Amino acid sequence: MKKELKVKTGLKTRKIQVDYLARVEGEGSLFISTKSGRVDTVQLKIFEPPRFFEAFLRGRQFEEASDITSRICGICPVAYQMSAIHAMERAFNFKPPSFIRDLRRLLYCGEWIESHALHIFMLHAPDFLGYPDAIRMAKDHPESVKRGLQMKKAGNEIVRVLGGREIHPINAKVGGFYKIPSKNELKTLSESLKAAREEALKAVQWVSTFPFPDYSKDYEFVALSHPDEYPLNEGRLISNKGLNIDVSDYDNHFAETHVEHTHALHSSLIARGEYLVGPLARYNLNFDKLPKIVKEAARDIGFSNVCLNPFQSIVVRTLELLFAFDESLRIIENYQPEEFETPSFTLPTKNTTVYSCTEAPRGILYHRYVLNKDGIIEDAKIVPPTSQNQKTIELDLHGVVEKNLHLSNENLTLLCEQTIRNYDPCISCATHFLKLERKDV
Amino acid sequence: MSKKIAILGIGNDFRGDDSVGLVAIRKAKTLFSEQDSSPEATAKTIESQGEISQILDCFEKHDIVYIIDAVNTPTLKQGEVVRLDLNDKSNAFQMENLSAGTSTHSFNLKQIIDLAEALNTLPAQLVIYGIAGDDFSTTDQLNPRLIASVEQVISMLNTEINGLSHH
Repeated sequence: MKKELKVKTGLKTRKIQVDYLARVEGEGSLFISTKSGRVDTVQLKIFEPPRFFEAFLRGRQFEEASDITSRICGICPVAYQMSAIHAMERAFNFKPPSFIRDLRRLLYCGEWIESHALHIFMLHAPDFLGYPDAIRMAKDHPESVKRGLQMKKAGNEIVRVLGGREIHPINAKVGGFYKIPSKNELKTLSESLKAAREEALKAVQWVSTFPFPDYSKDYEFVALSHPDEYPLNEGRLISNKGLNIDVSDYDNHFAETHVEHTHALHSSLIARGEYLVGPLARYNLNFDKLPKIVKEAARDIGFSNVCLNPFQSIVVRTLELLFAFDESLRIIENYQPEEFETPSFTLPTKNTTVYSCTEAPRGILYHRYVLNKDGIIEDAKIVPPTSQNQKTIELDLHGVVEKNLHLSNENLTLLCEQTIRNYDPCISCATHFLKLERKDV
Repeated sequence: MSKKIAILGIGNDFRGDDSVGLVAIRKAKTLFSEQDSSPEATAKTIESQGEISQILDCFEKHDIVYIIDAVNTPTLKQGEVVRLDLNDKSNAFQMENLSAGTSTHSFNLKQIIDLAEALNTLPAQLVIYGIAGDDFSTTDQLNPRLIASVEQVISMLNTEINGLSHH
């Protein structure tokens, strides 16, 4: 994407304006102004055309939500499918059998691998090594880039085998899957996943050597938490500052506001304001649920079980990459498909509101639907993780710039871009109108 | 020894003219399958939505790769066909100007080619057949002008690939 650096300097005023942010999904720009040596204004502007998915969903059958919402994002379609499917299954009090549950975790692992590998190696690593992009980084670090691509390919294969295709998978549905894979079909993935897991261990070592800017904050981290596992599809919503709720209580604790300078909504905790979702939140809140191989890898690089520096999110992402490979292999090793037919669902007798939160690669993705007695969607609300992080990203930019005003405008701009990429923002998902009024004729 | 040839049709079924690469490759599939062509003129046909590792993998595993994709540039009218051979250095200017991606979730084709070059994994020959599009809005309809262009590209590819067997 094109980047223009516009600088206005006066005696006491400095403006940094990046019209197009490179190496994030979607389109956004950044405006920062300083006055008398202090940061005055920080605005992360989203100018993707607003999306109308919440409106598209009205009038559709409940089964269609997963396929429609998966089109919101090309890098995290599984997250949208899972949040939609889990929400709809609440309407019928449906609990899938354990092998279906495992397949869903495996599909999600595939997406985490695709997304994290792309971000770590192709989007964020160049920042730390002083390259403008992955292409120039590849000339000097070909083995590392090839490692990243190999890992991404392994993730793609999981999504292709289990989801039906690599991009916008189509096999998941309310109640299970259209086609259940055989044990042998999943076994074909094992060799490449084992090799990729070894590469992930090397990647953890590699990213741990990066120079990390010194910045930390007392965030409120919010993530799912499950008693038995590192969270993907299920759990309660918790934070490090006392939140502990069922997802059905989300709207009583979180609020969205429309901010003038951006099409994206800003989320906040009603009680305490901005919060952070994503790998850092998951890691800090659920470290004890990570498998041994990941805990040992963190220990080997001297990485604590608590990380407050957002620049080190790349290390956490790499550890999650390792987790996803290990978890995929565990699921495949133990997989025992059963004879199973998706049950017919008895529609509710009145309007029913259903909810779900699942852990997209970038953090919790909340879906809420109102279904009528015919199973038709009357209303939908979707809150992507990047929307939830918007306010925190702006505040972190404020803090980072405040600490680095001594830098030249060019270097400060690069640091701001690197800061934004800490959150791997998926800007294409994070835009929608607050309200849409519709008149039925 | 026959060379390994791939034809990669890149596109998005739901972005109007951006589906042209996929439409083309689906038509090309039977023409270049092993059953219908001579061994020297067979080519693997691959559908792609532009995913980076799939394209790089294709580059690495084949000697000659043909790409069919929509292009968007003010210098071409909708439906016009352009052939860019990466080995022809006079194409460099056009390659630079045809680098805009229509996907916000991946690298554009020019970037993927540059990455393959950096990793030393480009095929010996890479040719892009670009079909100029105009409407990339959210629709599953392909402009009829581009359907005619698809036939033109397939005919050009057929001639080109059959011509390889005589060298």
